Amino acid sequence: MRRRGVLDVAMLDDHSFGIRAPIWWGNLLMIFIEGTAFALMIVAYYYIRRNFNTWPPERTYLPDMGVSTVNVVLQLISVAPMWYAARLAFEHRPPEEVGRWLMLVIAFGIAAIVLRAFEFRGLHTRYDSNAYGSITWMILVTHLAHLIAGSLETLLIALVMFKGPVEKKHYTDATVMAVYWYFVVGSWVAIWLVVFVSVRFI
Amino acid sequence: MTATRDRVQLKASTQSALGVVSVALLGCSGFQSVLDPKGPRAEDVARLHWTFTAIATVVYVIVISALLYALWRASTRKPFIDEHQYHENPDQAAVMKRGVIIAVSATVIIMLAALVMSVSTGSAVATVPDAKPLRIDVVGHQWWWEVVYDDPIPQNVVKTANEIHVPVGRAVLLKMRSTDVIHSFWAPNLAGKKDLIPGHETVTWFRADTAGIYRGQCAEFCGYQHAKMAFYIVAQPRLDFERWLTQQRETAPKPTDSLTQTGERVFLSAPCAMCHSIGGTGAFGNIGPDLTHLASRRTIAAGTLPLTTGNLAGWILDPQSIKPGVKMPPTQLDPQSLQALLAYLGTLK
Amino acid sequence: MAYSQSLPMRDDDRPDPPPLISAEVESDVRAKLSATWKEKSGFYGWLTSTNHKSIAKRYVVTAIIFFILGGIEAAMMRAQLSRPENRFIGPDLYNQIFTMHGSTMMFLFAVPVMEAVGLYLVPLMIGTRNVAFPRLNALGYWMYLGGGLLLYGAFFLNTGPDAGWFAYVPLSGPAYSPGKRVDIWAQMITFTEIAALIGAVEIVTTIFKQRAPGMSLNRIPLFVWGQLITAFMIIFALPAIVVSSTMLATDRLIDTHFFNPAEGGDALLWQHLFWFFGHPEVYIIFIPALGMVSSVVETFTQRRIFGYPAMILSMVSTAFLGFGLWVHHMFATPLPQLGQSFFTAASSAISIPSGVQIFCWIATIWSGRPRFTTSFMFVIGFFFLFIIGGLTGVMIASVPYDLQVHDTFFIVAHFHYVLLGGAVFPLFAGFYLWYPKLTGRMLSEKLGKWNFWLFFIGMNITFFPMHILGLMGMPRRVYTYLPEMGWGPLNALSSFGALFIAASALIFLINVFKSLRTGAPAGDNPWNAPTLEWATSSPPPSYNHLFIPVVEGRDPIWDAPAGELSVVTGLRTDRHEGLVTSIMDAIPERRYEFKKETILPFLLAVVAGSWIAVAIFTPWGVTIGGILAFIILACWFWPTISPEHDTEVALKKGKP
Repeated sequence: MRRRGVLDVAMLDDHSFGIRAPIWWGNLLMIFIEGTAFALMIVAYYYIRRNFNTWPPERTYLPDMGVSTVNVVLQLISVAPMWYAARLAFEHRPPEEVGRWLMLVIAFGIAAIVLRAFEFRGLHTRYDSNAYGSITWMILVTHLAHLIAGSLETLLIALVMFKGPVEKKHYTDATVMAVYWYFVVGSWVAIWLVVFVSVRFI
Repeated sequence: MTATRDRVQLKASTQSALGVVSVALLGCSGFQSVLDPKGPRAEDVARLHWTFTAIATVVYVIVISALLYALWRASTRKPFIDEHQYHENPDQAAVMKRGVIIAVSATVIIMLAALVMSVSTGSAVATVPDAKPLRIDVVGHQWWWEVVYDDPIPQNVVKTANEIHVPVGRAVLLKMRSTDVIHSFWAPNLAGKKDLIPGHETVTWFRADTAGIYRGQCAEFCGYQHAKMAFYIVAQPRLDFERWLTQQRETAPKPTDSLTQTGERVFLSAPCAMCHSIGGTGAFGNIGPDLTHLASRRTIAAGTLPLTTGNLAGWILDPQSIKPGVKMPPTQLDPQSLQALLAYLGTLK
Repeated sequence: MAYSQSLPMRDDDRPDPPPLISAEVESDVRAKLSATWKEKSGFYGWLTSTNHKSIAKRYVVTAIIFFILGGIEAAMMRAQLSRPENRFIGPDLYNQIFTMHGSTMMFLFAVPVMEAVGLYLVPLMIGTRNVAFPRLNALGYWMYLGGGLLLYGAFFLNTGPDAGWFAYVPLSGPAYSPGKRVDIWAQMITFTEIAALIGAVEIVTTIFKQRAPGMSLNRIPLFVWGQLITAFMIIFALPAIVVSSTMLATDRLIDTHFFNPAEGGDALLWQHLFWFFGHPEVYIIFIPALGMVSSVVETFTQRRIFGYPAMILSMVSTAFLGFGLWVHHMFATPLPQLGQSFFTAASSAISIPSGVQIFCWIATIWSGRPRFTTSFMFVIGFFFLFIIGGLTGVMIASVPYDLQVHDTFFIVAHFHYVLLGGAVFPLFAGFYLWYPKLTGRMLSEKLGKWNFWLFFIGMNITFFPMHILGLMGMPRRVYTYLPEMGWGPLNALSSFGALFIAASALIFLINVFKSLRTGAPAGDNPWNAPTLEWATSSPPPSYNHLFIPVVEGRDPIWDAPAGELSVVTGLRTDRHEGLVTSIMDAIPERRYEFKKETILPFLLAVVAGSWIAVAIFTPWGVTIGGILAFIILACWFWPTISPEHDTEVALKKGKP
């Protein structure tokens, strides 16, 4: 088969952001997978609720609102430095600048992880007490895993930004990381509404 | 099926309890068959089956004929030489479009017809026809069926196992639960399945319009001996059924001769009484089936063996070789004790 | 060389078509690409490979090995059931074997093999050099292999799972399945679900972002559409089994109570979650097979598939409906009447998109000129068998009907007609179609015909009587039955039929191995097929296409005027570079460097794999494994700039 070159792509850039970047799509699909898992756990939460007369079950205190609400606020605030870091990355600003803002996000991440310990205590139930305890613990532990993974990944990107060698594609990684972080925060807001708020009304 | 009949039939001594249920009724075409309905629920579904099968056969023949015609027509055509070598020319396209549209429309119509039939049959079989059905409790165990005829008066509660006696022509409402894993109650000649699920109480109903003995078996995989978890539904004329029920309400007769008295002692002193109960004795075990009227039943080990003295002896000594994994442990008995025990159990009619 | 930056629609009014690429330039590019994309040789090279073809071939071979193992298990079950009260295998082994058969065929054969064929062919068909994330792809294979080894290792140590491939609680729970058997099953699921999800992410991203310029959505081959739709189904269906198998594992290992009714748990929660995954799973197996049927019909009738948009819409609607009918596996559980009718309607509605596709294929055949090759014969067999399975499917969608045949051999017959007829026959058709591309040699047509006829006849002898057995009251998953049930003769017939299938499988293997060495050389495009995988040599070079093609129609090879292929120039040949294009119209957006081969995916799979296996015994496995996995991931993502890289892309040099 003879070939005719009809299109020269040598001038095209070799990195891109958003829907033009494969990694952005890979990350989005990952979010679909994990989002579906969270959604199914929330469905399971309400499914299990039907087996109890009261919710939370008898002789179980309502989960504490205090710490979890602080955690919601904290995580929502952490979106701001993440957004700013992503914007700096998008503008190809010096890597150290991006890295500094990412470090701020990690500080929030660590705070959220620490608060999570108190949240478990505030549930006033254990994973092996009954099905209510099992499902609330499962949801919180899964989200904790996301917080840890998100913070570690952010740390990794921050380290790359400080230590180098930094390529343009690492800027893309930083912006994609931001999308993932928004997902982690958003899913916490949803979980908080289910596990800490809706429990008071159903 | 003569051999079948013989094997499933009980010893002559139990036939009185079976009333007019005759050998002829047992055999006909299949005593565990969807296509030999003996009650309204199974009849509706059997009708649905034949209708569906007819429609499906016609659809299949038509579609396959169309495929064969297409293959034949295409292979007899001359090789392509026109510019439409790789895709249809406009004339062909019009024919193909029309063909596909007609076929898809027919599919939709047939599908909707099947749906209507299905939903109307579904609501028919979901409704219990009698205002006052006979209520029976069924409890699933690994791997046998506990059957309880409840009664407000405690002495009148009847407990049996793996055999459900019902009156002909009256709807029966089963209230079912499971104490261990999920089982599924299925007597195909009478009705479709219903699962027995721990933590959920389920309800099903059936009505036997013809006297007879219908076999059913667990239809949800429930572990080791899922294969050997059968039961019988004995449909009897009303009077026979009531006679049977009255008889089942009695406690076990006191042993009269020395052999059966020894047998009772063996039963109470051997591990038997830890799991089984016999009304009127000190045996109140509730892990295994109630044996108060054991000898009136047709089979042992949930339909695994016909109840004969030999089978019963084999079962008591070594149940694990007959039904590996069954919860009943082997029992060590010397020959005399065994004989006595068998004689005693034989009196539990 | 810069002819056009815009989407190239060759148009006859355009002046001066660009010149043909000269043979010297071609051989120069070929030499450079071969050097750049050369795979390391030896065992270490094998462990580190990230080329999608090498990995997909491994996937296919491994899946076929599991298919054979699953087949041997099936044969053992048929031997046991061939006569009443047979003592060939007892309940303990039988329960393990049917659980293994189901789990193997679903998790280790059907889903992986369909994804594997996609991972091999999709990049070739859409004209790219590798999948989007080559290292992740390698990880997927190793995880899959780990899951298979775990399951079979345990099975040979008499710790094979025995609670069914559906593992219904409470039977599979801590109280009724002590020991580690069900834990093995749950962790095997973890492995294979990771592998399947990775494959799905690869396929979606690759199809979205790496199609050859000009391959707009309405020019994607139907096979690739099938893969894309399936990958989306995997992404939304598998989380259900991730969640439910995790719940099962924690119930068993750390005393949670998700399924324990005494503490508010619910056995039906498992069934809902399992079938929310389990039903789409059937379409995850079936839709790629539909794509294969389209490829085969198109190739062997030499006609474009009629009704391309209808075909795509049918697959998409099948996928959507596939998520709306999981409850038809649960008709015997307590459910509201109205809900049941909804699921009946959804289940029968599947017949409409299936019908559309069947009629479009028949129309294509009608207008074409069929060549009765083995591949095409398997597709004809597909019609004969799948339609039976489809029609019984409409029957069992009916609640009252299903209550009679649910969990009987009628269902066994139904889904073997659907899965063997609807997925394995197309798979064989595809194998005969693409084997020449994979190996460069043709399979023997003579052995192929034997392969087909024995399979077709054996399939019908084995599975048709099961319909009748089910109606005669024979439940599934029984290790034996009493002589007086009257099921003996039909079971004997069914077991006899299995011999034909075994013979067919043997002939297939002989054909594969013999043709590997003595088959006729295939050439680039032995069947005159229309899609891009046939535009490169057989087997394809490691870089797939010498130049990325530019697509000017739905059937690029047939549409290319006088054997001339329009191609992209200007991609770098000194690194693993591909082209990223836009989602809708495949307009070039940027160049893209693929990650190179590395040992890290293998190491990660070993660490993650042993962590999952250790977690069966102690929860600490998760903690320790997590730390090790993070270390490897850090190495994975840590940037490395090799000397041949452009220095200008590196904004900041690190320490050497």
